[in-house]
Amino acid sequence: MMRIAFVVARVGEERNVIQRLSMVLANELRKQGESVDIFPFNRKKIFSLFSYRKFRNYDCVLISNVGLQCAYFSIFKRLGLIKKLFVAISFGSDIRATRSKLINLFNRFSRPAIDLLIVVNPDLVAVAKSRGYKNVQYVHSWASAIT
Amino acid sequence: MNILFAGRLVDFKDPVTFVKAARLLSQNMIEPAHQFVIAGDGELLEECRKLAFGYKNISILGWVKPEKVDELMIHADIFCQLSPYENLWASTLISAMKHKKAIICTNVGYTGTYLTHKRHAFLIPPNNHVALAEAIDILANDNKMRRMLGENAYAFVQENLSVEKIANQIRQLLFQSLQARQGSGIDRRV
Repeated sequence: MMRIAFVVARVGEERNVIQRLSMVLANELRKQGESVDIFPFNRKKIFSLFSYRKFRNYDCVLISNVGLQCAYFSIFKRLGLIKKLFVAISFGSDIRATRSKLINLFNRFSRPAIDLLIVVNPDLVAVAKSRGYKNVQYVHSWASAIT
Repeated sequence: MNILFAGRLVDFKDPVTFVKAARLLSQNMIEPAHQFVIAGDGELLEECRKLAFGYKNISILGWVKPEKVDELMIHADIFCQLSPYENLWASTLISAMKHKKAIICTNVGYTGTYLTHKRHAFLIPPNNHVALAEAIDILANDNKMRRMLGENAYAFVQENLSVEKIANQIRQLLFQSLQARQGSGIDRRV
């Protein structure tokens, strides 16, 4: 059994598809025997300097979307404070918007920290690689579970 | 016929082509044959509203709750997914496939790799409202093709897009990565 810390932003926001997909994935991983704990992320969390410590008892840190949450924990990973497998799931909006300075900044922080980037659209493999991500794997989207 | 477009009203989804096709199919008709519905909001909302002004058979709803999108999907005869860049795997596209709808989809990105023309969807070129109007016309007059497209799209979802199957793939990826780290001796507690 893997112990997975799953960082998800905007938990409970009805209009946010990514958080809904993340919850569905967490439930399914649990059904399949893994231990998954959700770590809701919001902007206030960036002022919490020791939040990385709560990942101590997990095998893997899984981050939903390469957004602020990923950039934030990437700093701890790059500083060597998080030594666990560091995986992000990209749903597209976070790495496609190359004209967004904020997104580019998040990507710049996250890229060296991510051990594995899972993308849910086939075109994102090329997009991610062109942005410098090395270990990129494609899986189909499971959006059928929320429609 | 009820023709549905659902999604963010942004360039990436190209709702403008949908409204232009709707206008084309509604011009000079006292009683337009089709009802066109757009659900979603975004920076192109106002442009869509302006283009649809004066056409009573074109409804622009703005953002609606997911349950309402489901309801619209149930009542739709044809669903349009028109990105000029990539359609896979938009949640609205998957929803339409799950609801056994006949789908008109732009053949861009990896769309044609997974969805076959006239098997899973009716594929058209991007940014082409004339081609979209023609496709709507063809499907509106072909009951059998609509049903066949819907059934095949549904079967595709069942075979390939189940959360059980995909979650298992993700588990395998995580497990393999963990094993690789353990093999190289870099897995430690924080």
